[in-house]
Amino acid sequence: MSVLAFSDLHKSYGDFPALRGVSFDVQEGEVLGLLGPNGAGKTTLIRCLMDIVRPDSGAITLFDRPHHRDLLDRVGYLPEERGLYTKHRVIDVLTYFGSLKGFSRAEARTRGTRWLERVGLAETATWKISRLSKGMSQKVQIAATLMAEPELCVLDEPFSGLDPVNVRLVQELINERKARRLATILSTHQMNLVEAMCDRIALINKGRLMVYGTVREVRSRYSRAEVIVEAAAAPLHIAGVDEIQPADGGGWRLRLSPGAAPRDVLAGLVAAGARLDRFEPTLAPLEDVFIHVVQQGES
Amino acid sequence: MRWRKVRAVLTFEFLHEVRRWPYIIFTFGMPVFLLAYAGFVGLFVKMVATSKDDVRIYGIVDAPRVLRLTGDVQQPSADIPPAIAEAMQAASDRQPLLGEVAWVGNIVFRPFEQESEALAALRAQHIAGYFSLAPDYIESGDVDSIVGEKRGIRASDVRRALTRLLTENLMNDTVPPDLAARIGKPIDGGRSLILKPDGSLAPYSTGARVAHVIVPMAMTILLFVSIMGGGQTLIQGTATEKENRVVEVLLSSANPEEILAGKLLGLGAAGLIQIVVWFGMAGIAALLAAAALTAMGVEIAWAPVIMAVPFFLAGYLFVGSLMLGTGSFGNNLKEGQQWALIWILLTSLPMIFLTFLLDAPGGAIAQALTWFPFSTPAIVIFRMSIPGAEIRWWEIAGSFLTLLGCTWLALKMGARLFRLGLLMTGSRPKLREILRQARLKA
Repeated sequence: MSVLAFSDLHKSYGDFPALRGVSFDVQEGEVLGLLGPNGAGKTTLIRCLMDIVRPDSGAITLFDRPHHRDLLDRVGYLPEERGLYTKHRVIDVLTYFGSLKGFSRAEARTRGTRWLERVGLAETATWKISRLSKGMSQKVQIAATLMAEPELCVLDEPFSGLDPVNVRLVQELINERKARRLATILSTHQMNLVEAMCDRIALINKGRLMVYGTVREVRSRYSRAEVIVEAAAAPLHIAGVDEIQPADGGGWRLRLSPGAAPRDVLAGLVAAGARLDRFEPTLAPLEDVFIHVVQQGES
Repeated sequence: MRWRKVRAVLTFEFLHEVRRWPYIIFTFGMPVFLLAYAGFVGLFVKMVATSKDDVRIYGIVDAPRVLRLTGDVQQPSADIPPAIAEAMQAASDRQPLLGEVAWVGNIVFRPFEQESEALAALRAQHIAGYFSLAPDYIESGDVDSIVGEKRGIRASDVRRALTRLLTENLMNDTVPPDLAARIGKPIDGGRSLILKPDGSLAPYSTGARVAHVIVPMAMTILLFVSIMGGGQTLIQGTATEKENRVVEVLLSSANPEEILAGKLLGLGAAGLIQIVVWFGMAGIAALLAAAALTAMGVEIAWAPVIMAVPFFLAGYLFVGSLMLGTGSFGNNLKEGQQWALIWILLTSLPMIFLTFLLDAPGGAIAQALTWFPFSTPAIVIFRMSIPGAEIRWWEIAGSFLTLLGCTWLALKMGARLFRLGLLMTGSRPKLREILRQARLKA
């Protein structure tokens, strides 16, 4: 089931086109990576979703209904440009954000307390925000976003400023959402985390959707026809292989001929008597895909 | 507009504001401060008045033999206004304070034959100063005054006392003594009456005159301070949200109109509490001091006290929404205040014209400012609280309705500017964009 669908979305600021016909959807329970270089239009797209700016044309469907402000109570948003009321107590801020999402003050306070425990900050409930470290503050913001347990959540750079332990914590929180069939849009430049956590990605550049699909599909699409082979001896030149080079991590990198399928190369190697320990078609890292697409856009 | 969103913002803003120490101190401390200030001044006056030891002795070198003093002469430096005397007697159920008030008679003039003697006495600090009449005083009027450094600042009342002494003595040989005394003090009593709106005459004491100026001024200033204070708090809150980068989170949960309404109502409620506390305490004080006020002929006008509430609310919403709308363009408090400066100046008009308003509370300026929405609340309450100032019921009702209409427009315009301002960070909007946003059509 689709929880969100952008359809041919356009938005310009004066003469500058920020979005040019963006269309994609987000499915229930999936983690979608929203990628793109700085200034690509990601924030504008999210702001259109959150009704902070209005698109010039196109449609947004939210929870199978036309976009409406009231539906946004079911959407959580952690913006990239974010902060907290520094002179207020932590629990008061969480209570406020909870009540803005439609909870009674008592319910918002209870949820706030529970989520502070969940992110390991229970003891800070009565602290002034100004007393929190940057990492603590970041976790309070994540708690404030997730405390309403929104059906769709937009997390813009949620890992910035977090140490590896807390990165793991946020990953856990996102995975918990996924297990509960709650959708998450994750916008980050940390491609290793996108590869590890996202089901699909949407890569935007200069206001256009350039790449959209599952992580594996996208990586395959932009991968060179190569396989990594580890064997007792250097593999023989066989049909379907143009070039053999030592691989970085050991073994050999076999560049395949145009049209050659990895399975045929595997069959050829086995038939030639090669004793294989590893045979792995390579996938381009997302970082390479990102750079390739962006540079292509530049040229 | 969704009320539950407005209520969430309202509750947050209200609770935050009323829990702030500056708010608590300002709300409850202001009347206490004013009372303490009045008490301090009263105590000071009483101390000065009852200080029998504080007799100031001034020398007189009378070369032209005009005064012909043979010894020390005590001379009053000022007269107690009869109304003050009445009030003091009314306020004291024990021995009248009047007898103890002796800035009357605490100046003594001591004759010296030679100026050198007077100077020696001054150097020895036996006298506070001395006056030397020129030999040709009758022709020239020259009187040198030589005072010690410590006494110099209080010399003006001594000159008045000397003037009276000279006036009486100059006429001693030419006019009868009682006429000379009268010339020295041409007005020394009599009734002072005021024509009431019902056509009757009532006593109009100096105390009443003072109260009739102070009460409207105090009410106008309190109302002005409340409206401006509320507006400043609104700008400060929004600037803080922009500085703390909370704005985008807020906008994802509530639209700008809901945020603006919540802020206005939340801080407006806090401001209303302030008004009720201040005016309430003033009312209680007036009731407690009823005896003295009645003796002074002061009548407390309750209508403006009651009307201050709706006029405060409308005025606050009007000015507050404009200040918040344009103030949100600033990226910090200073910039926010700069953007809102025009509204601050317009709202300050009653303060700028206060002198003219006191002179002519029903004059052209007062009437014009009554209909100018920025000044309507302060001017209407000002005119209502001045006894005898003619403000007609239709002026009150009409200006209030005009203010309400302008408030509605300001809320709409303020919300549009607020949306634009909240989304702007680090850049200044172009005038064209502001005007486009301010238009009421979407």
